[in-house]
Amino acid sequence: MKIWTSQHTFDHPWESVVNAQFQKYPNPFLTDVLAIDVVNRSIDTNGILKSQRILSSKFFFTIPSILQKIVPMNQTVQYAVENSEVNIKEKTCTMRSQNITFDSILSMDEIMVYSPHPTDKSKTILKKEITLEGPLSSFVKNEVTKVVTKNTEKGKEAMNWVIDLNKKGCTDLRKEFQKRVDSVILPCPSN
Amino acid sequence: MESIGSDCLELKLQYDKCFNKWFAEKYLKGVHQDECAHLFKPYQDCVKKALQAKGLEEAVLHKDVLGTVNEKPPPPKS
Repeated sequence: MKIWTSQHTFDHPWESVVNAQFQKYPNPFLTDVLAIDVVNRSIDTNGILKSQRILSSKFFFTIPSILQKIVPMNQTVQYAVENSEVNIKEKTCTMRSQNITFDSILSMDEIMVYSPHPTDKSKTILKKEITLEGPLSSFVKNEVTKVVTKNTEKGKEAMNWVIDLNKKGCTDLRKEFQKRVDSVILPCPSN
Repeated sequence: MESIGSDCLELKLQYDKCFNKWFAEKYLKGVHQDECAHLFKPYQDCVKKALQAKGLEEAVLHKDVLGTVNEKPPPPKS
């Protein structure tokens, strides 16, 4: 069942927005994401870049408390897979994210498409669609929609943060943020 | 940013650095020749081992479609 459709216009050209999408983490607006890794990546003969990444996060699904009572969710890390395609000729970037943790009971499928604004090339349009499937989807629809509303806002802020830093050439500031994040989340497991 | 495999972090950082530079400076400007493949392979091998160790390999394989005919069909209309 489709639970979310939205459109947002970024006041930046497509290349800047897509570049920021790939450099989104670490990000002070999205601190639930702990790790992100590329599993597969290829470029086809048409120059289409296909990537598959795995996201490890504290709460990809911020589990509604009502659901926590029904399903024992004692895992602290949850995983999601993101498949993306960047078509540089057509100037489209499509990203599809699906959870793999608990996906037999609740599967969330998010599709985001970035394309240049049809009449103003200095702007980029993001279209987002989310569907929920699984035996609990009707039951948790409203709860999940609330979380998605909040996360969509955070996502926009996160993107603008990266775009602004890239624009100013603030790579040092990003490195500093990275260092601070690492010092907080890395518990020195080898000792 | 961490890696799913703690021993993959160094490989990840090296690869990400190469990819981010290539993506911004080459790919988005129309140059499609991959310049980071030599760093990707060892990193990918490490990540795949970590996925295997966590029992996630199969699940990831099943989510490898983007808008193809193999895509999960929409749920039946209720």
